[in-house]
Amino acid sequence: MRFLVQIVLSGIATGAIYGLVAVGYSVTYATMRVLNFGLGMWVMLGAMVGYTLHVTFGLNVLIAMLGMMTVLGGLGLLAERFTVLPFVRAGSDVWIMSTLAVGLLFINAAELLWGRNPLAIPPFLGKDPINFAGIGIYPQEILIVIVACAVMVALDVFYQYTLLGKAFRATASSTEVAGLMGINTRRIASLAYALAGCLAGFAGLLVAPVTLAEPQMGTILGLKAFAIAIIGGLEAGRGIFVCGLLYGVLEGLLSGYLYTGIRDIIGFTLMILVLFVRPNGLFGRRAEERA
Amino acid sequence: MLSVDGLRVRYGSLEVVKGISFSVREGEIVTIIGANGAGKSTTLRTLAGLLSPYQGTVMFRDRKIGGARPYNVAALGLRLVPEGRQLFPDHTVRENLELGAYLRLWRGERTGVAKDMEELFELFPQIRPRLDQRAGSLSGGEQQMVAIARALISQPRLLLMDEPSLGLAPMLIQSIFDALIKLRSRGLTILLVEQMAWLGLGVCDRGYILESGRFALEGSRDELLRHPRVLEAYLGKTPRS
Repeated sequence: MRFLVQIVLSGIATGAIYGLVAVGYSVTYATMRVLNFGLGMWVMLGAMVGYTLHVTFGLNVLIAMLGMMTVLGGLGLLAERFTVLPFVRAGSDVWIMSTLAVGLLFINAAELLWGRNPLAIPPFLGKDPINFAGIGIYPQEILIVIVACAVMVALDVFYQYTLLGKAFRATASSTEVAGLMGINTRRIASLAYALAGCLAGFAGLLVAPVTLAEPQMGTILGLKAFAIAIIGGLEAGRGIFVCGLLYGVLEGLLSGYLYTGIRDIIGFTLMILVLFVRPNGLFGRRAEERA
Repeated sequence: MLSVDGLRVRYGSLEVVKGISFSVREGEIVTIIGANGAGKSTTLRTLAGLLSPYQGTVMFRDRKIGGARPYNVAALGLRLVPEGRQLFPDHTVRENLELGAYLRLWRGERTGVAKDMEELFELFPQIRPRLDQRAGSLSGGEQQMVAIARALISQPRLLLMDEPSLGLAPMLIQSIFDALIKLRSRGLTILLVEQMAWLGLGVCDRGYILESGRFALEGSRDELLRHPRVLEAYLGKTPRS
């Protein structure tokens, strides 16, 4: 029983990370019908930049987090401007390759700048597990869940209660009509891309103390998050996050009770199964429901 | 206020608007009448920046806007109420109105927007009780009222209206057009596109008859209402000899 609870708790923490990254896919898809296929590498970059600011420069973790998000946000604006917009404007789907290419560029750059060896970022709330009724859980895992949930609530507040958030939702609903309202839909698209990068980077720095930071850390994570975004339904932000949590628990249970290797194949198997039954994902709506 | 010269618009190789020229002066209501596929909506969508002209110039308040992006056109004070209302269905009615006033709210005009919203509730009393309802759940008539209110709250210099009667019951159509008459008395400039000629010509100062992408006729309201061709083809009456 303790083993089960332990697995579920760790699974929720892992799932929260998957959820954050998966929501990143949703942010750009909902507003501009574009997916950043290299988003996993933005997770890695967040961890690496965070490592430099927090460990190398010794900055407070909150300042390092803000600094990292500023860097990734800026890179997001640039990447959207130069590797997405030209293709979207030309009506070409080449952005599929260009977003991936930017991710691969990040891996190469990370290998050059930080090397190939894993880098350790000390947990933000201490190393020793907290024991409760015989169950040990790392403070960093608790932090991940709390912070990820807080980010989701903040994102929800942004979408529901701020003028800019409402403009994001309006652009997602209809770019054309949003433009008629005077909303600069071009700027919203850039901001959405930057926001997705920030979410991924945030997840990267949050998980790095548990997994270590290294240039390949985001590749599989990004793919799993992509599968989760599809399973949840690409436009259903909250649903995707819940799917992330459930996925993390399922992955933990399967690798804990069956064998570890199964962990990396369940994502796309599940994705195919879900799409077979619900083509718009578990929480996605059909086109006619949206009208 | 608006002057269009030699406007031509194409969808691929298909030319839909074939070189039309017209103008709208401050404070007047101008109506473009035409059958389905005549190019009315295409003309309005081009003026609003949703389509780019293939040829011709569009000047609005002394600025060239042909080919400009919709948000830049909207910022100049030209506002389109699109065909089929096109509200944001998952936003509440209040949010739709806020988005209509997006640029004003961004400039910090919260008090002014709240005051104007109250005035709009006098024009369309049906909106107030629906404020916190999802816009997609409203009836067609209510949606049309919200769509017009959403455009008006931006304080437009020129309101473009694309077939406001489309899909509405006769009683609702009447209340929408009554509202237009009230707006006209307040000095709002409107360019109206309408398939139902008697409605469109009933409220306008001047009108144009668009047929297959070209203006077949133009004139004042009375001239058009008396014109044999309009009487026969658009009003279903036999002209008196």
